[in-house]
Parts: sequence; structure tokens; C-alpha cells
Amino acid sequence: MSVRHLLAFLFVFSADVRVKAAELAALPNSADVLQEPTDCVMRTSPCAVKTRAGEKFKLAVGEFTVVLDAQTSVVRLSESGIALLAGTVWVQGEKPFTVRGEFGAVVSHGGEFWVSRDMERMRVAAIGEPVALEPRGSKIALRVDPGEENWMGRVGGDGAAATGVPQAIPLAEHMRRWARLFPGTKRQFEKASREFHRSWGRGLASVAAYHESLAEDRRRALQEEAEKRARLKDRREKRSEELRALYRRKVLLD
Amino acid sequence: MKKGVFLAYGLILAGLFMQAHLHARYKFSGIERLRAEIDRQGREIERERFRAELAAHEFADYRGHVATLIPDALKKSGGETERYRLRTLASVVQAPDGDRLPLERASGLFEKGKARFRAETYEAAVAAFRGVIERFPESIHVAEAHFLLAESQFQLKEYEACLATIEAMITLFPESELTGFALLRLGKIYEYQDRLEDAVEVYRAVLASYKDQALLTQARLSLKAVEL
Repeated sequence: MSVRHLLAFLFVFSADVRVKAAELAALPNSADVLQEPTDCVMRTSPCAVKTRAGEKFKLAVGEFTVVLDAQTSVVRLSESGIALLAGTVWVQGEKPFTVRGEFGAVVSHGGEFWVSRDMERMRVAAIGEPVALEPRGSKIALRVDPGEENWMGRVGGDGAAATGVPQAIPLAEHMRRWARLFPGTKRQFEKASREFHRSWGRGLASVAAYHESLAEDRRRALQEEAEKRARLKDRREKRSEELRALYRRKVLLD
Repeated sequence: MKKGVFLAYGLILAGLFMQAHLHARYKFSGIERLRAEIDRQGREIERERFRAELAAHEFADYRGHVATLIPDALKKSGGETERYRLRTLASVVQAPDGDRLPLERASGLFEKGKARFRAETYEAAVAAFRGVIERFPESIHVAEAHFLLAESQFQLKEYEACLATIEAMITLFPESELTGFALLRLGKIYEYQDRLEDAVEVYRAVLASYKDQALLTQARLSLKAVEL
């Protein structure tokens, strides 16, 4: 191998490492978030807060820590709840806590979880303990186990918010957002991510079993649907006899 | 030596004078004040946008609340006018039900076309059947819509358009019994146009391709009449 090849190899290798490190870079803490009413963060609720691009913010809500990602808007409603308007929050605490939104509420009885909100969906990922999704207009709450993610969407024709099926937390995306908001050192992050990986693996296994049963249900439903379609086709054939008689009269006798 | 010292002093003084001049010009030009004003207004815009976001959230929250109440209200509503109002409101506040609606609309449009066909208002029927074919090409009614479109065009004496529709049926649904009937109609059009050889070909194609007895009988009769 020539020196030039060796240098090229070293350059490509080091460039790759730099990109990955950049993706996992932590955001600086914001010293000056937007607040409505002015300077409400240090006072009592309700208080709306928004972070600017490239900054994170740690919001104190009662005994909880709510870390806001860049360009995230929340309203602190009480000592145990916030409303998420846009962006991503990382919630940590030991007591019951609620994150509300247009599509429903996320209820935790303690533990760590993430909530992301865009125009169409509110996505929830449970980390340490399970959380409950209470979709708007629905009487049934959905459980999200540690290592899993689920979502709620807009209210549909049945008067209840749409919901998804549990999935394993998308690992790469989660690591990037976690690294952005992680308060400790790189070494602490490595240790925490190894612990997370174990709970994520357990979540993946339970989700796999669930999806297997879901696929079986779907297969059965499709089979029933096919049978139903066949019955409908027979019925339609019988009904169209009359119309065909009309065709014959018109075409053959004209 | 003295000359050199004098020149150096002169250059230093000129440099200092220029620096002082530039600083004074910047200080008294108002640029600093304008920059501060731009910064202030930028922050004000940011704050207004945040307020707008909060207002939009309140609206979205209210919209979600209304959307949950509509199904119950629809069940309890009395008159058609009230139901129409509620459905209009639902179309704004609820998430669109994108999968079911097009097929329902295709069926509705096809039924409308059939009713117009039966009432012998063929121009209106043509519009409805064209709508089914163009807007809902995956609908189960497309074959029948083609047939009835061809038949409506025949009744309106639009023979060229009718021929085009039947040709499309031959391409899209060659095995459908309806295409057999449409081919008989095609043979009749050729007969009207004195294209007897073409008509014979069509009747023979029907005899070779379909099993329906009424269709075969009529194809044989038509063939016999043309060959005579």
C-alpha cells in the first residue's frame, strides 16, 4: 500500500468518525428561552416556554425534570403536568405526571419517558417504567411498555383519536435525541446507553411477539374479508341478472 | 536620520487620525442604534410568533374536543338539515377517512348514471359514467360503466365515441360477457355504416370467444342476416 493510499484511508476513516460524533453532539443549555407571560419560568404555572434552534432547556415542573429539545414549545399547566405544543421532551420523575396534547394525554406513574409531537402525531417512548396513552375521545387507555413506542393522531369519524400499534423504539433516532439532551459526560452517556440497550432488547422481544399475533389476526381478517367479498360478488351477480336482461332486450331487439 | 523619524511620526499620526475618524463616523452614523432596533424587533417578532403558536394550540385543542362530540350528536340529530350541518363540521374538524370514501363515491356516481340511463336522459348518463371511469378507475363498476356509456352514446347516435368506448372495453375486459354484448352493438354500428365485412368479423369473433347462449344465438342470426 502506498503512502497516498494510507493517507486516503486515514482521511476517510477520520471523516466518518467525525460525522458520527457530530450526530451525537450535546446541545448547549439555553440561557434565554421564550416565555409567555414574560419571565414566568421562575414563578408558578401556567407558563409557556419555547426553545430556540440549537439550544436545549431544563424546565422544573414540581419534582420533575422536563428537558426540552431545540425548537420545542410546552405549557407548564401544574406541578404534575405540561401540554406539549411542538418538538420533543424528555420527562424524568418519580410521581404521576401527565403530558397533554391535541390528540390525547400521556400518563406516567413515575419513571422516564419521551414525547415528540409534530403536525400529525404525538409519539411516546417509555424507558424505565410503562406509561399509559389516553387517546382523545376513547375510553380505552393503551399501555406502552419500556423499550416500546406508540403514537396518537387526529380524532377520526368514530370520535376517537387514531392510535398506532406498539413498536420497538427506533434505536438510531433515539440515541441521537438522547445524546442532544444528555447532561453528563461522554463516558456517562456510554454507560447509560448500554443499560438502555438491555431494556430496549426486552421491549423488542415483547413487541415481536405482539406483532406475530397481530399478523395472524390480520391474516384471519383478510381471509374473512375475501369470503365476504365472494359472498357479495355472488349476490351482486344475482342482482345484475335483471340489468343484463335489460341489456339483452336493448341490444338484441333494437 | 531626522527625516526618517519625522516620516515615521507622520505616518503614525495619520493612522491614528484615520482610526479616530472611522470610529467617530460609525458612532455618529446611527448604525449602532439601528442594529439595536433590528435586534429588538426580531425578538418582538419571535415573541408574536410564539403567541400565535399558543393560540393555534388552543384552537387545535378545541377542534379535537368538538371532533369527539360529533358522532354522538349525529346519532341524536333529528332532521336532514341538522345532519348536513354536522357532517360539514366533521369534514373540517375530523381527520379525513381517505380509504373508504372514494369507493363509496364511485358506487353513488354509478347508481346515479344507471338511474339516468333508465330515465333515458342519456347525456346526463354519459357524464356520470365518464366520471366513474375517469375518477375511479379501480372501482368494481368500471366494466358496467363502460358498457352503459357505450349504450348511451349509441342512443345519442354518437357512433364514433361509441366505437372508441367499445374498443376500450375489448382492451380492458376482453373476457367479460358485457364486452360480448358491446361487440354485438359494434357489429350493428358497422352494419349502419355499410361496413359489412367488418360486421361479419365482429360476429365471428363473438361466436369464437363467448359461451353465453343468448349472445351466441344472436351473433349467429346477425351473421346470417349480413351474409344474406
